[in-house]
Amino acid sequence: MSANSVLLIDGTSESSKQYDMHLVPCRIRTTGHTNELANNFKKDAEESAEDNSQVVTYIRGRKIIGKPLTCLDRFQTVLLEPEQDPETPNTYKETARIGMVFNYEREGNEARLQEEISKFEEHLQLADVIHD
Amino acid sequence: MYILTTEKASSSPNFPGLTKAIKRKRSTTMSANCGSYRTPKSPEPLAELPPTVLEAKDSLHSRTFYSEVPQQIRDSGCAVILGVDEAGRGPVLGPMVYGISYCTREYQDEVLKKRYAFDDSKKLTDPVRRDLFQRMYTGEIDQVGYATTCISACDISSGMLRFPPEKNYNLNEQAHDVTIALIRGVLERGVAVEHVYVDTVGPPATYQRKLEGLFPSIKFTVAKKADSLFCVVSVASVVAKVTRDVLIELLRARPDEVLGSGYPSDAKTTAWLRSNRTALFGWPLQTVRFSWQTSQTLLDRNPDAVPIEWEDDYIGKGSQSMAAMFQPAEKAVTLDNWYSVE
Repeated sequence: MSANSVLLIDGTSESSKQYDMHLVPCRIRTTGHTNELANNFKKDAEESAEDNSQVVTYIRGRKIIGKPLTCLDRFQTVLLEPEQDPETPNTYKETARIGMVFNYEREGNEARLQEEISKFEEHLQLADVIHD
Repeated sequence: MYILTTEKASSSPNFPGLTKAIKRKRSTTMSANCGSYRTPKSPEPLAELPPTVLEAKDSLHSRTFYSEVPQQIRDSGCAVILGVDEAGRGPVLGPMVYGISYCTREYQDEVLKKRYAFDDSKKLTDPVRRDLFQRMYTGEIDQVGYATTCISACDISSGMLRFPPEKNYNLNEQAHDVTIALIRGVLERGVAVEHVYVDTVGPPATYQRKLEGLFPSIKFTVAKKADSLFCVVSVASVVAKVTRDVLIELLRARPDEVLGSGYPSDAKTTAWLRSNRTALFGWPLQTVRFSWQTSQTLLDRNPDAVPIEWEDDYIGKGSQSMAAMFQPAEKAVTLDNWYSVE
């Protein structure tokens, strides 16, 4: 999103889907739906914490270690889709809600994981200061 | 950074489809609860799955099994010899299995050498290997103890693909650590090991010095082709080979599925890899070693595969800096444009 104003249409309904969001440390050169997550993007129950304070999973053999962004608990995170009408640019419709957000780093690079989470928390605190 | 969203199935945030198998305990002694099992090509069925296989068969991670220490070894007080060998170091499919066996030198010389056909496992036919191992775990050969560690394809891949590269846990280190742990496990079970024979593919001298440093009271012989030279190593090689072979067979999703030997040079294996790869994740994590060049090449050259780029891909590529990784090829939502910054 740019710094320009955007119009948000409330598209929520009883049937709105809810997702968890996973920020993974690689660039996946596609955007869209996949059926592969159910069988492949599973939490490694043996190496993850039961309370999800740490989750471990794998992408193409790489072990990735994630932690929840608990700083987002006080927000409602939503998934937006741009409206296709050229008459109403910068208009987005809410299509789903996000439950938990996890940030991941590769095994061996866990120090950066905490650094990223700290920076994101700092970003939210700064936003609070600016907008309060 | 890239974003994956997973549908929420319940009130508890979680990934879908957790497997029960990966909650199994890491190590155990022999279980009597073995079902009968028929291998697809061997003429004689195994009466029951080897306990080494039962321990590892449904696990995403490496598993270790120790047989009970034979009573005669406990009681005799005689010095014990121990052999170490592996199966499945080179294949792109399935686990690498480290096997050990131990017995008294007298039992090796008077019984194993004279009555049984133990030899380098590669020189024996599959039915002979299975028959020999079956005689061990069903009790006919009752004065040989054994143990295995099955290093899973998942653990091999993830260890070798850590980032940054200096954190990589390479195959030699994994193999050495497993061997050391197996020897230590036997010692902890009260076995008076006097001499250990190790089959190695790497330089024997440095490996031998390392082992002698760790176990100063034990004599070591580390040699290439030790499975052909020392009977106790031949037994270990049979234990490891049969365990791996059965585990590979159990990886099949259908009875008629052909995985081949698992070696990259096996046309059946590469055919399986080609026909079973998926666009995003490639292959099942518990089956394929993603750290093998064969699997990486098959993904890279597959026009239907979704390109996935890692930081490693940008190391040492001159003008193509690490920052290039974060340049969008298409307009996609990523962490760098997800909030505030376009």
